[in-house]
Amino acid sequence: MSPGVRQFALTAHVVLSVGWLGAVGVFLALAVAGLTSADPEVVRAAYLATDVITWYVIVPLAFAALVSGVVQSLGTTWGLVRHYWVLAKLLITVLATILLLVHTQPIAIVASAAAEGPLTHAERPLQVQLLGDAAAALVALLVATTLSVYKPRGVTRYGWRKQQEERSGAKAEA
Amino acid sequence: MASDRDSSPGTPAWVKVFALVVLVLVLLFVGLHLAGGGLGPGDHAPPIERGLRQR
Repeated sequence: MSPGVRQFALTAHVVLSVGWLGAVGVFLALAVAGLTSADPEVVRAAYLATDVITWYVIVPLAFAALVSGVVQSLGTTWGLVRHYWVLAKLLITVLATILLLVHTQPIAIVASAAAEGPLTHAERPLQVQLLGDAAAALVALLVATTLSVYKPRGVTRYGWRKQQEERSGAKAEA
Repeated sequence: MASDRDSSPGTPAWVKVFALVVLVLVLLFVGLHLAGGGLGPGDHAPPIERGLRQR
């Protein structure tokens, strides 16, 4: 990648990833409001909103962050599996995206119930589950963001081998 | 940022801790769902297709 394209790709990846984190923060706030509000209309509105932001904000941002991260790592010297911190971020992003898609089910169930009328005790376990899922997702994305900033030391066996090859290549040219 | 110039291929301690935490969380997730935390019949379609917006 040329320096200009690299900067653009990095900016896009940061915006998409932090946007995902922010959207999950909004989801968490709605899940808290849905679980704690005494006003049935506020509860219904909160869960209808969680469904909408899941499909139109969180899911698209999750995939966009994943794709832009893969492009960013493959297009730079960091590589996708050369450094442990990149590998860890990839694992977090893939797992978070899979779990997000799995948990669209309880989100849809609670939203459908909210669309029908005031929620009952039957939905309570799912409401608690949504709160837990959102909190777990927020922690996972905060860990991923921290890894991006601190870039902790450590290369994989593959990365180390590549480094050795590049060094021998550079010595041979000299 | 630390350079990896002198790093050996050995696995850093933070990676081992991270892998352990991920493994525990995955097992916990699978265990919870197998132990009756089933989600029930759901719908993977976006809300607009389920008609939530038509109300």
